[in-house]
Order: sequence, then C-alpha cells, then structure tokens
Amino acid sequence: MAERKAIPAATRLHLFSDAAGFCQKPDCLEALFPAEMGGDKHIAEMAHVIPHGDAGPRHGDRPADDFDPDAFENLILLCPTCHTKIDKDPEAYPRNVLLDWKANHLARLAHKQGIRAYDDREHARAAVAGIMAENRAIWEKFAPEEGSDFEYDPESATAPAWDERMRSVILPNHYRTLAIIEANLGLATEEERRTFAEYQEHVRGLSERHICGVSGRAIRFPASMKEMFA
Amino acid sequence: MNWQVKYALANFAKEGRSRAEHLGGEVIRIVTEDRPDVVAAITAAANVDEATAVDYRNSVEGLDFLCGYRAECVWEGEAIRFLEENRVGWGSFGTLGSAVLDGNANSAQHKVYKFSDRLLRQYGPVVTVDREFDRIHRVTLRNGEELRIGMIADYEPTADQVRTLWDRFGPVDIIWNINPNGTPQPEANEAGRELGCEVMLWNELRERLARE
Repeated sequence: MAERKAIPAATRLHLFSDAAGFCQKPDCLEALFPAEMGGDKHIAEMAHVIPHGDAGPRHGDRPADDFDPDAFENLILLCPTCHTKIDKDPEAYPRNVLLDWKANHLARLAHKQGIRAYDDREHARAAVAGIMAENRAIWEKFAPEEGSDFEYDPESATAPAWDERMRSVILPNHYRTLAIIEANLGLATEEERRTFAEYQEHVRGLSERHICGVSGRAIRFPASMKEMFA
Repeated sequence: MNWQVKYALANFAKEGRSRAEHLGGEVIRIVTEDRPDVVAAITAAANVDEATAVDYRNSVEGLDFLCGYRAECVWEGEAIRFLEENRVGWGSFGTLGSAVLDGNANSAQHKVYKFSDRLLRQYGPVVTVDREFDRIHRVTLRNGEELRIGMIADYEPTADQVRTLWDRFGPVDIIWNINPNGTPQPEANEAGRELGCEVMLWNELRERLARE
C-alpha cells in the first residue's frame, strides 16, 4: 500500500482559517479550540470528503477527472464526533452535502452566533446583553486589580486563570459583540456610535496585550456600553 | 471628623456585615458578629514613621489596627516593626476591611505587600531581609550579594511609576512588579535600564535571587 503524504501546511492553514475555529457540520458548529482546554489546544480533525482508497466512505462519489484527495477542496474540518458520524454513515452524508456545509459555513456560524441585522433595538440589545453579562461575571471574579478573587500574590493561581479566560472566553465574546453591533449600527444613536468606537479601541488594546504581549495600550471598557441599544 | 473617618464609617455601613461607630477623633470601633470587635485609628498621614506609629499606639487605648486611609500612604520599616511587635495590625482600608472579617485585625499586614514580603523572607537564597519601607526591601543573598528591591503593585507599571519610585525612595537594584497579572510597559523597562535597575516579575526575580 502506498504511503500517504502529510497534508501540506498551507492547506491545513487554509482549512483552519476557512472554518474560523468551529466544526463545519451545520447542526454542530462547536468550538474546535474548547475553552475548557485552555483555548490553545484543538480537537479538530481534517476529514476527507472523498477518501484515498477505493473502499472508504463516499468513494463512489469520486469525480472521474484528475483528482487529488489531499487538496483543500476535498477536505472539511470537523470535531471528532462529527467526523465519526459522517464516516460511519456515508449514505447519509454524500459529497454534495459536505461541500454545501463547507461553502455556507461562515454564514451559518454568524447566524448561530447571533450576528445578523435586526429590525429593532430590543432584539439587538438582547443579542449583545447575554454575551456582555458573561464577560462581566468573569471580570468581577478575576480582574487584575478589582476582581473578588484577586490578591497581590505573585504566586496566585487566579492570575493564569484570568489570562486563560481572557483568551478563550472574553476576547471571543468581544469579537462577537463587535460583529453584532457592527451589523446593527443602523439602529444606534450618535452617542452609541461614539461608545462603539471607544469599545473597538478597548478590544484592540486587549488583543494587543493578551495575544501580542504588548502592554499599556488598552483603554478602559466604556461604561456606556452597558446602555447599548437600551 | 475628617473626611477619612467619615468615608471609613460610610464604607462599613455600606458593606453590611459589620457596623462601625465613631469613638472620637480618628478612632472608630468596628463590630462584626462572631468576630472580635476592632478598635482602629484612621490616619490621614501620607507617611507613617515610627514616631507616628508610637503616638497612635500610646494615645489610643486598645488599638488593634492603624489604617492609612490615603491611597498614597507610605509606611516606614521602623513603624511597621513597632506595630507588629506591639500586636497592632497595619495597612490600607482594604486591609482593615478584610482583617475585620477574618478576625485577625491586630496581626494583619498591608494586603498589597503581604505576599511579596513573605515570599522574600521564605525564599531559600535570601538570608536576611531588612524592610526599609512597606515597598522597599534590602536583602542579603546566600552568595553575599546585597540587593535593594522596590515593589510596584500596579497592573501595567509605567515609566513614570518607575521614576517616581526611584525619586521617592532612592536607587534600587530591582523593581519588582508584584501584581500577579502585571506586565510592565516597555517604557517602564526602558526607564529602569536608564536609571540602572531591572524591572521584573516574580519568575525572573526568583531566578535572579538564586544566581550563584
């Protein structure tokens, strides 16, 4: 049996970026970098739509022309559970279904995350309020100088927990909130637009600090964000 | 009644688990269920030296805790030693609030510097610790080297905070950012280099102190 080559790094990167970090099965869309694993380990599996061999799932769907099973177009990024499902029951998951998942992944993901334009302020507020409440709860517990668990203890276990929550929960929540507000800016007042600009700057600073390791550029979370779309 | 005492009374009233009453001057009594009553002096001093500490200890009967209410309050080492030897707790208003609930007001230390002071004293390569101020320690290492270490508790110390510590307390060999989430700004590191000291977190300091 011929030895299978590793999938090229560029293809893997393309696939991960295309999936935006979430399982591409539409009724799953689970995070492939789970928060409980610290946000820096993934559970993603690269699944072949058409297999290498003649006996694998969906081999009957193989196109007649020249075909590379390891090409980006023939791969889909899934969580382990969904990978198992599609390979255990290939009739239920034919090639065209998997390619449709992949083609429409970002739109479905955005929809699941509540990123859409609403008709009224009430719905827009509801979409952002829950996310901001989660961030607030974490901040109240772990924040660097004001959290209830914070102590000036250089060996504190709370400090790494705060850093981990920042990267795996708080920042992703901020990105979602930014996207939701951006999609609904038409409903915002002039004052809320200014608040949004400040909020964008706050998130930029947080990203710089917690992802790029550059401190000192984050502005405070604008208090008026609490009133966004209220 | 000065504003510090008024604020202290108001803050205890707001917290709910304790109630505080004014005993006169700068002295209050804090009563908490299932905890010892605490007699605390709320000082407006920006600098607590030994004479100030002795004065409060001698003039306030049953003093359990001396509270430096101002955020910028600095405690001198001799004042700290005097208070600790005489079973009087010391520190910020936050320290007092925690100590009242913990029931250990007369042995409590400033909560901002407590962990770092203990870390230095219990770290193997450190032979002696002389506390000059609440945030300035002179340590002698096992290898005979002597280092003057200044502590900054801020989340992201700035160049200005490094320079302010240097101006206020004199030259130090190391500025230790003791906030566990802390990361000094690049400008703070640069200011330290210009002045002739290193700015670092605990992991780096630990290695520095262990150097043979």
